[in-house]
Amino acid sequence: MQVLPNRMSCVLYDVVEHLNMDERSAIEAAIRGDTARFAELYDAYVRSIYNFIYYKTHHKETAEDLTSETFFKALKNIRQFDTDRSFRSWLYTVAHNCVRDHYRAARPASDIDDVWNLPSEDNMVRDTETKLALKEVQKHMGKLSPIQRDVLVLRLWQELSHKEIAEIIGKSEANSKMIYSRAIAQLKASVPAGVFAVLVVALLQHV
Amino acid sequence: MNKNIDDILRELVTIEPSFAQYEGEMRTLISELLAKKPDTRLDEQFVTRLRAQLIGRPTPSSFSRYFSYLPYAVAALAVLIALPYGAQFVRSGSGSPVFAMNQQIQSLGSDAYGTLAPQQSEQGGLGGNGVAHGAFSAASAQNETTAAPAPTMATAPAAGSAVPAADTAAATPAVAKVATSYATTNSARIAFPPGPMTVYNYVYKGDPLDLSATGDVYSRVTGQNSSAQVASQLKKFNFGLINLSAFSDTSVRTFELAENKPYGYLIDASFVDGTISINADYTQWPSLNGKNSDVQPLSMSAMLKDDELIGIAKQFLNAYGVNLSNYADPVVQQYSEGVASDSGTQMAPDQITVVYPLKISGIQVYEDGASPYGLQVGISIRDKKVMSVYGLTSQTYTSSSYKLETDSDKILSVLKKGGPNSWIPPEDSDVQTKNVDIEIGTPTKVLMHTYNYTNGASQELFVPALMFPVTSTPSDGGHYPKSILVPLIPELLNQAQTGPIPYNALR
Repeated sequence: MQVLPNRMSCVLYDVVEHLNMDERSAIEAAIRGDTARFAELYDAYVRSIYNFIYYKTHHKETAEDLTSETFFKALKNIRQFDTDRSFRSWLYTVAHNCVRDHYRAARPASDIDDVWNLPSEDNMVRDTETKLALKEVQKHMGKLSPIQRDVLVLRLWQELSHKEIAEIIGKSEANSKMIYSRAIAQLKASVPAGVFAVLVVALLQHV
Repeated sequence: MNKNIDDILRELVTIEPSFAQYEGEMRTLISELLAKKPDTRLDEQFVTRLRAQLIGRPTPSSFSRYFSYLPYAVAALAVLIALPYGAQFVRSGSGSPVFAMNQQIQSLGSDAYGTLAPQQSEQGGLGGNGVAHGAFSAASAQNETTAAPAPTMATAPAAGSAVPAADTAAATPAVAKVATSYATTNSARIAFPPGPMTVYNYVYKGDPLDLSATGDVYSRVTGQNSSAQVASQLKKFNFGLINLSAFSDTSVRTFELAENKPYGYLIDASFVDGTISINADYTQWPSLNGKNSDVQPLSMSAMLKDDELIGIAKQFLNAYGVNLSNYADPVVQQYSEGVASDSGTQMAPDQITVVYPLKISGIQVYEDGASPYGLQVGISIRDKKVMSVYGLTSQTYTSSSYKLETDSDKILSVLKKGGPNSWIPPEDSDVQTKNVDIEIGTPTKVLMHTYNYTNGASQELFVPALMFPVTSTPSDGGHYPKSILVPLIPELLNQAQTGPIPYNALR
């Protein structure tokens, strides 16, 4: 009896090891119309999708609205999902489109993909704290192409692999790496070293 | 963070070797970008709220969320309960259900289930399911126990009842007993009671029929719940008698839980069929286990009123968290009074069934005998407790569009005979008949529960049908149906029995 907890823990541990296999099962069930199984996918991805959207909007309520829209669209259209693709990538694509549509509806005359495209004085609502923190970064990020920004955010802030990023942006893995390195190079060239010196001092206090 | 920066730099240098000469600047840049990662202030209440909107249920607890990633998590927990050591790990039954409770319907193309024509079984069954649902056997059984005033041969199912196969079989010998000396049909020898046979004509008095050219046929999805994962966990236990882990490619198809307490239940789940049934564990019920020698037949005064029966059922289902959103208001199934053999007094049945009629896509489902199809809750009159629950099924369906019969005359001609499974003697028969009219009102659109047989396998289907209410019956004390069900799938409609009596169905 004393060995029971370990034994049961082993059982539970082994169960958890089936996670990847179970995502496929959940996707197939959701495609068959089982929204209960869709809940498993929601639980797995809602946080990363919300964060991704927040990084593109800098506004909590907008991120919540667009996260809701993303998952409702995903649930509605899951039968169109190609099971040979990565579900995560598909979900990010849906989220990306929701954000783009949001900005294009708000600024029909402009070709805006996300908040980084907006000038800092734009009156579109943003969380004050985030706006202040990103004040210096924004003007440099704004000079990158939308796809460069996406790759940077997905790689540095969301820590996705280039393989996953490639699926989301619809390019090859090699292309993803190339876009990433060029974005870094472009930023390096455009950001004054003095700005970084100040930031590094501040940063080191937190490391 | 430094390690993270080192990794990022290493990757960048691998992609673009020239970055190596700017390591200091690169490190500063990466540090800056990482430091500026915004706090997204994710609100867990938002996560819970959105989940509820999407799925209809709250976010599971952190413990059960741990399991909710697994398709068979609840099943795993259930098995752990069944195993002696498992209980301490179970906190609740939350998490993603193994069997879908919220109705899900996936639309397929048209005619997805193939031809729906009934196929004659080896027994010569009238319905597509190999069971003689026909009026003859049902009415015979009913008439035999209720002593109808005159020899009759109803051409419709007995009132509100779908006769189980066992009942039909039981009725058959009684009919066959008198098969030697009375009138026979042209080709199959079958007996009828002396005197003219009463043939009922169901006369339609309702509004013109509202018919659609197409309608959805539904099929419940089964077989998606088999659990290889649960089996793999079970096999880790040392059962002593045999090494279960030596078996390969295994899954759990069914399991049974037993409540070890007075008035305990046996709970049987089938992953394959997506069903859960509950039965009284007779060893735990004093009135059932045979140890109580004082158990006497119940008099009719012990009978419970309908609202009492429904109250008991409702309380039980609520207590065990059965989701009733897919069911219509409960009805008490009709029952027959027995007669005590020694005293001749009337006896109440030991068990009465309350039925929660199933609704698929909001449309109520009936058996082909016009009785409601759905969740059946058996109630012990003696113990005033629920003693069985059947028909608790996963609620995942597919649907497919089929052409429906649009010829009112054809539908009403089948109705006139009492439905597609009813039989009336052919005009050239030597059976003497007496015709009695029964009036029928405007129908409602419903679904009929049936089976389709293809390639040796049966598929449970729910097809569009019209439910015609009986609005007036003769006052001769006979038993009459309350309604007649007529399917709208042309192939099923056209199975209407004609010609010689389907003798084989009565075997």
